[in-house]
Amino acid sequence: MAIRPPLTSTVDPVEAPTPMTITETAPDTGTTTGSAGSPQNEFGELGSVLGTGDHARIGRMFLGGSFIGLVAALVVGLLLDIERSSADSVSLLDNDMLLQMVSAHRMGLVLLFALPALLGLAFLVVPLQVGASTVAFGRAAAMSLWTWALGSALWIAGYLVGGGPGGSDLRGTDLWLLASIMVIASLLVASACVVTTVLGLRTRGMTLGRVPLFSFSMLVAGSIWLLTLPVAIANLVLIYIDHRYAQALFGANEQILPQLGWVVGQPQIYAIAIPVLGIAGDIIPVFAQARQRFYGVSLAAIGVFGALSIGAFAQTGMPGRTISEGDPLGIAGDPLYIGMAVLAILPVLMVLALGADTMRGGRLKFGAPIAGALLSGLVLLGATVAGAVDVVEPLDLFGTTWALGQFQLTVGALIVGVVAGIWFWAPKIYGRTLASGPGQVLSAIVALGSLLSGAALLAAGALDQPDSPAPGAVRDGVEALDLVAAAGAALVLLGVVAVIAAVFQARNRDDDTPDDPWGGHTLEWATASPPVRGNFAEAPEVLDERPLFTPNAEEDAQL
Amino acid sequence: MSVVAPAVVTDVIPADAPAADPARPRLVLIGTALTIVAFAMVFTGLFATYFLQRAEFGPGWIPDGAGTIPLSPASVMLVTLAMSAITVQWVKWAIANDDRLNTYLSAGFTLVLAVAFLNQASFLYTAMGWEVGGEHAVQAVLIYAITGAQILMLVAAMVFLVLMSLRALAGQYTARDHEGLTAAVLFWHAAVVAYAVIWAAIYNVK
Repeated sequence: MAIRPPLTSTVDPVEAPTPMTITETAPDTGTTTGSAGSPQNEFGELGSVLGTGDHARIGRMFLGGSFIGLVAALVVGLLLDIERSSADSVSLLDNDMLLQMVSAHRMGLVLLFALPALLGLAFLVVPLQVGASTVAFGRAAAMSLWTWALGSALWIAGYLVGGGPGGSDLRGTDLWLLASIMVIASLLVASACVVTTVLGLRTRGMTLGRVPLFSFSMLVAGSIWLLTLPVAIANLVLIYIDHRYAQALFGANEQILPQLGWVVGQPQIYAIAIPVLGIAGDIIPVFAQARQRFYGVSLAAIGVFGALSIGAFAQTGMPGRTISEGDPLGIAGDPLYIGMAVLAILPVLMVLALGADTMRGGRLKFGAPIAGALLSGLVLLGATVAGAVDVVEPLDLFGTTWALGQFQLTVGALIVGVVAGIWFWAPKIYGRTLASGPGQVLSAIVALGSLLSGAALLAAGALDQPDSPAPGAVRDGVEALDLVAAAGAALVLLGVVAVIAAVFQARNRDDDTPDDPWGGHTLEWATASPPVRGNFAEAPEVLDERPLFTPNAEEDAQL
Repeated sequence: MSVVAPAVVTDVIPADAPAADPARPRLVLIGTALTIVAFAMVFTGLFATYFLQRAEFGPGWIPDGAGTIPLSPASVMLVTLAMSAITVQWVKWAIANDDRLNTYLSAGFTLVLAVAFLNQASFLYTAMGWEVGGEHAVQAVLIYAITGAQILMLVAAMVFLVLMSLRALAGQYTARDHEGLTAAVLFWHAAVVAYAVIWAAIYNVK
């Protein structure tokens, strides 16, 4: 059995919350993370919302906003699936609108859901996990939230006035391009805040090797975003200047999405899935009630997965590539591209294997978080396997819906992972424990929907269904698969709406939430639920990577 | 008459001495370094497209004679920014020695040089006379995007330096703790390096 004797922890439960001063960056406008003891803002509740520098409040707003973006993107995706399955008969949407919706669906899932949801979760959890009183650069974090919100609204407005990739309105497209720059820049600022928190605000004794896996995965993911998304900004700046003044470099609107396609394709798409490994890695040992062996290997696996998700090189027309109709990026034969796609399976497999080893060595208890964690890991494994198959040249899958299926699986893994994270950290996020039963069902529904949708698109791709929403592009004989994909997308949408309803219902419930309902192993469980201002009564000191772990965690758990 | 015993100087820390404070996290420097990395990647993306297009275009990318990019103003701009790199380092040296007068003086010189650079950039753009939608549209899009990004970075560096100088003016920074000014100086150097690369790759090599 993998359980080792507990190491000493100097962390005591929070008795008398007082502010601590690990950093001088704590904003003056900082409020409590919980409900008790909120200082009064002279501008009232609205002022305290708009002017907050509190990491928990910013995180909750990022998370809430991202779920609005998720629902919108899923609705668009569902309409596209329905359109694809009925392309031979009735077309609900015209050609321009179809191209707009393709970009709205794929870019929207990344920019309006994936990154802000993860950053929101990180703002909420990372400071607690590393023993910090707040997030680094609280005001910059707040600025990133509001810039993202405004940018997202303009981004959607760009589509509504007929702009965006494939749109016919030139000014609308200019608006969309500027809004995209704004959204990505704001997310980069937020990423810098999270990365700086992990690098600079770790409590005493917490070396990088002892950082909890979710925080470490956000360090890796944030670093990868900071390395790659500025390249997307460079693309957008060039496209904007060209589109507005010349249309000489990229032509009209139709070249915008191919130029930005690398952001939503492999290997870059894995950059949004890195924290899935961290979420699973933090949840599994707690529910297995065991210390994970080979902790350093988990950290390394997450780091390797991050390195394999650097995809900014996979752009249109890079030197030495032959661009063809079925391979618009000209990367089918690129050894680096092929190697990264194949190797991406290994770190995911490694983290899951270590999770299985931990469960085998412990006393597994079941609950919504571990159900979601395992499902998200398995769906992500499926996505990486699909990605590896995608680059097998004799199969000739480029340009088919195979890549779209892989995208759906990756995003599905992320949605399930985020849901698992919300259920796990709900006491710290909302000060409430979410009901376990519905959590398990909803995780299963979203995972099933993602698998259905992804598998159907993979199968359609294997049958040479082109990745094009244009009417008449559907290959005969795959209509049933397109219908299955639409059913899967509907299932995911249903599950997400139910998750939102469950969270709202729990928030309205008035109950006494224990500080540590799971017998958690990391520092966030040493804080109150919800955490008080400053998070910790005094700066904690940790001596190993699981400072709260005891072999008798079940007895410690308060549920 | 009593004899005062000479004080014994020792580097042995007494056992009952209080523990040293933990090292203060250098958040502003970390955040600045991350921002510089992000800017570097923006330039990487821009230059990747630039070199690709230039390679595809072949000879005559930037024409000789009328309509070319004059090297002299671009070189003067390089010298101006190189001088600002020296004066901005003077800011760091001065605050590290608690010399507040020199801090303000050197920060002022640095900002004046930056304004001169912006003025020279405006002159160069006029001398080039390239319209984005004109004869050299592809080159103009790329060159204006790259040089514009560097100007944006320099303006950000100016704002950063002004804010940190105001903090110094308010007495916030000392010889022991001047992290904010150090970060502003670091960012300034990055903006200078960015222009040096532009000068070498675009203005000089053509």
